[in-house]
Amino acid sequence: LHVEVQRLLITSSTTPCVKKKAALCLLRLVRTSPELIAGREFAPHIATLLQHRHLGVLTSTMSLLIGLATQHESEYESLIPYVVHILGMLVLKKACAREYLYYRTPSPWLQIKLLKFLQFYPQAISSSSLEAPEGNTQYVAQLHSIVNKVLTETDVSDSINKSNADHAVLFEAVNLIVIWGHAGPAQLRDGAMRLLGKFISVREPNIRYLGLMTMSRLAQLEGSAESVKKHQATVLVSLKDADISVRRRALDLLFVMCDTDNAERIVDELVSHLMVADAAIREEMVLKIAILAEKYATDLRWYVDTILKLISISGDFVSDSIWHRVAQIVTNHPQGDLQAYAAATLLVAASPRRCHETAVRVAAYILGEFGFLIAERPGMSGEDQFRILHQHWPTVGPATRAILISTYAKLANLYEECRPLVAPVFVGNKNCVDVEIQQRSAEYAAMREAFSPEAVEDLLREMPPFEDRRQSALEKRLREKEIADGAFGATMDRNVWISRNGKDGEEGARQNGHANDNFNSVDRGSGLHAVEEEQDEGAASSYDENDAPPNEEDIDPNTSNAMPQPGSPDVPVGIPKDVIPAMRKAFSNLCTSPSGVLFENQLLQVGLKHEYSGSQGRVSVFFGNLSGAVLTNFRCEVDECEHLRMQAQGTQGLLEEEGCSVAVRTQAKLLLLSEVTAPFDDAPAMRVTFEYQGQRHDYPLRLPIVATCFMEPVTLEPGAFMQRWKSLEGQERECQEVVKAPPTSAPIDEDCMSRIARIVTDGLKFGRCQGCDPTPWTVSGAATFRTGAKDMNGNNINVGCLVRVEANPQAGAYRVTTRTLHPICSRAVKNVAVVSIKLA
Amino acid sequence: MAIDFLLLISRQGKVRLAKYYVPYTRKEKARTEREVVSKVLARPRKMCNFIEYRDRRIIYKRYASLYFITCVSCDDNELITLEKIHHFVEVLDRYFGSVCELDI
Repeated sequence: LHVEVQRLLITSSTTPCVKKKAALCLLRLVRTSPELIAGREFAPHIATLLQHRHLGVLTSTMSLLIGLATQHESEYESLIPYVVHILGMLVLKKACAREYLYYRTPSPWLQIKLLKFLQFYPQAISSSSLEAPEGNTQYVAQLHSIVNKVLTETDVSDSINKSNADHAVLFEAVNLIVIWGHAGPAQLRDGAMRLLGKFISVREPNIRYLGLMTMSRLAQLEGSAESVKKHQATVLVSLKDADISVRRRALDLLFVMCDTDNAERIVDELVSHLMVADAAIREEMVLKIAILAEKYATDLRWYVDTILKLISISGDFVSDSIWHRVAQIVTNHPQGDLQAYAAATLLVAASPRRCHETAVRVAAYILGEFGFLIAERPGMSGEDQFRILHQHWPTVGPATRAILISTYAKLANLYEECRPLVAPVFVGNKNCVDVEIQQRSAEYAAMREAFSPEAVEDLLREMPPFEDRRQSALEKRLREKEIADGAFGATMDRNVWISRNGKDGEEGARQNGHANDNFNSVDRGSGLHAVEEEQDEGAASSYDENDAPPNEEDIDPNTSNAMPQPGSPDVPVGIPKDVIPAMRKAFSNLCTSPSGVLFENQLLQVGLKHEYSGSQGRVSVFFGNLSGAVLTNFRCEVDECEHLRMQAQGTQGLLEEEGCSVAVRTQAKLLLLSEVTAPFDDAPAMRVTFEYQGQRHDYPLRLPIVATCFMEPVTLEPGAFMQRWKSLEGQERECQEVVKAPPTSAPIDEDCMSRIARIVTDGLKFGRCQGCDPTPWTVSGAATFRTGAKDMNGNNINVGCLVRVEANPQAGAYRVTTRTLHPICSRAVKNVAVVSIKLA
Repeated sequence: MAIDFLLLISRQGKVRLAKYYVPYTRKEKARTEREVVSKVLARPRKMCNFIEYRDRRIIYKRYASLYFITCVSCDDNELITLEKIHHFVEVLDRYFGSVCELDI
């Protein structure tokens, strides 16, 4: 049917009335099914329509054009000159049919539509346009003069309606200036800012509202911060305006224009205003205040104070994420006296009988962690702390009680005098209705007798700083876990959970291979369950950045470095935790085999093929859509690394900003040509992002390009091998590791050894050196690592590598030793070898 | 970009005219009308004519005892919508010759 409509619209014989209706009808059609109109063909028709005399037709056409431009802006760029011409006629010359004069303003509606259309094309006025530069400059200049005239000549007049119409056009023009950003002339921006400054103190509330709103948009342009701050006082006054809409706008504007200098002042004002604000905007205000305070806090103590004030004024609106954030920040800053200050302030805050529940929670947590710092002060001893916290026990809810119980356990650990005070609490709550409380009480009570004193110390030690979690858990892993092996019966598993999750877990994460769930599982030890979830949400689980990826000893790096802001919307979906072990295995397999699947879930399968010759490699990656719907905005970014020169080509759009679309059961392809220039022991990272049914997905993956891929086997005589082997002796150039064979596999025998041999030759690409092994339980190999880097004579730099795998059948273990001229090389080869053996 | 609905209500809160340009179920309509009407009637004279409602804006204008309410999306120009309301009123006036609430 749309063909009919189009025809009616285009032919010149139809009356204007019909044309108008046809245009609007087409707009409706296009809104429901955007692919009806092929933009490029249709644009010239619109051009003819735009030259029509009749303003009604023009208005309808502009509506249609805006509708089309919202969908495909690039295709209608050629129409800009016409639009500017019409606008010029209306504004500059006021040449308009009499019926269309609205209170002596020529068709304000049309003017607005024209300006709105122009807002789609901010780049149009930049002088570096490609087509017809002369024509461009002409209409660019015209556009500037139009906007200038609108800015300067709009006046308040007697008729409120004319005034409104004129100001409507004015605000639209200012919006256009904002869109232009820095490409537009500076005096237009300054003029706009001045005008807005006038507007926000005008009596008319409408104008004030619009002034504040537009100013917050203008303030977001960089470089306008100075001019906005001049009006700061007025904005602060508007915050107390009678009109709620105006207050909201003022709040928004303050949020935008806040930065380090005026942050304290603004936040203090906001907090004092919070007391009188009504419920509707309180929550928003609380959130904004928290974000601002955190972002611009020069003194963290001020930040703690502010949050505490927030809690006391409107505690109901302070969500958990906010106080979790406070706890995180305090934990992460051991320097200075921030922690002591926080502990002291919170203790004082929790002292009065009636105090908000959130304050009790924060106080309990912080005191549990850092209470010992202030225990020497008068009135703040361990006993006092306990007393103050416990006075709230009858009035708080179960979640807070759970946190309190943990805190009591920590207090009891630190201060002897607290133990008799705390014990009855535990005993009393062992039969509590709430499962969480019951469990915690029971476990803490049992913990005293069950573990040795040092263990209890460790378990109840304070939480390590958040970003560094990875390292401290690593350290704990390396410790022996005899303590956990004690015969504690049923409580052992539970205690293991507590220790691992809450405090410095010293139980190694070899437990059930649940290393991956380390930070994921329910955190009993402290109330930071939600905090960890936030951390996990913020960064989809990713591999360690530092350690060599094939090394399975790495703990699951679920920590993120970017703390998400409280209330951050639209968190993308990352790699689900249960897929990670399979991913690791796939990755390790791919390091030693030429093709395979790197990653798979219900939506996406990533397959990989790689082949190498000398120092150059070709990697083809295939992204297959396994789901039932199209994956849009599919893009992948490969990180640059200094040791690999890479060139990437892929399916159209795959590597660009906008991404491409992968239809059902089709593949997007990526070809990477790489050349290695230096030895390396980690693998390049690749990030795959796409949208599926409106939900963003973000998967960080690693490409299995490791040092061994660039190896070329070398055959050496036994004598030569041993000579080289001895010559490379020396700590830095040798890497050694012992691998235990998995308990389920068969005992080491000839078959095993031949498998190992095959790993060395095919997987690691080393040449087997036959006669130099004294026993059948040793395999030796030699290879050269070819790089594309040139040395002084113009020859390629190569690194010689030697490897030996010795098997010990009685112990069921293998010892892998590598010696090369370059320590990183040794490490890299050793890692790949170790992993391959484990998976064999 | 377009008007979602248009309501005309009396000073006492009775809906005189309701024209919807997007599909709403009857329940939704009733709910929207209730909420919007209560918000608009609560505002004293001096306040500005724009209210934030969910993710859109409500723009209203009062003519004697009748409120003209429109709902537009957030990126629309508010003042021009106000003028559209006024234009509509003027047209009604011209067309029917000195119209008043009872006529509607």
